[in-house]
Amino acid sequence: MNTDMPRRRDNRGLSQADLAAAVDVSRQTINAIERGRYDPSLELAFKLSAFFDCRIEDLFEPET
Amino acid sequence: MQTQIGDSYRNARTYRRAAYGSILLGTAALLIGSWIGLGLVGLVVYVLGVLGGFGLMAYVRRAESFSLADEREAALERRASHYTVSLFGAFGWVALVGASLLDATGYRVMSSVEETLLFAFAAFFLVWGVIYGLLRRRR
Repeated sequence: MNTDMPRRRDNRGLSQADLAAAVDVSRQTINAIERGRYDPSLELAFKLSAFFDCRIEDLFEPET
Repeated sequence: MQTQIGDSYRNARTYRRAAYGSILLGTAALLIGSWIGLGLVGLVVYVLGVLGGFGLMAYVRRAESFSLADEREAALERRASHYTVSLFGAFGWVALVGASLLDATGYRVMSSVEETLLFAFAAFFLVWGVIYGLLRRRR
């Protein structure tokens, strides 16, 4: 899964640890999502999209 | 909302460290106790440490709104369990069926330990099947 999360996180001046604390997961989980090594659950994807105030499909797109 | 979620993350981290620390402390006490000749004291501290650690985990599961492990850690645990069961199943099946075959053809007599292992192996996967069936019915 490709994600726009690192850019959005950088725009807000947040570290991976800040984002992890905000959505109640570990920093390693945020890192794994950003590197495309872990696909978040639907619940976490909703949390992340709510945090960034965007739609899930703006934040993630399937690899082609 | 953000502060509340962040707090629960920090609380989970504190509980996780306390629970794992308790188990680790107990294990260290067991090893050190047996090493310096205080085996019983080490065993008592070990039991208290393990009960304390798992008790803390059970408390968080029942009483708190957060979980100690996030979804990726839970997924990793599931994958580790899957690989363990698969490896155990494949190697165990080959070894035990091979031993049974040699026994049945008279090349080698299966020992009582091997027979016990065969039954334990079958019982393990029987329990797995029962739990799988129950979960499948509930979901």
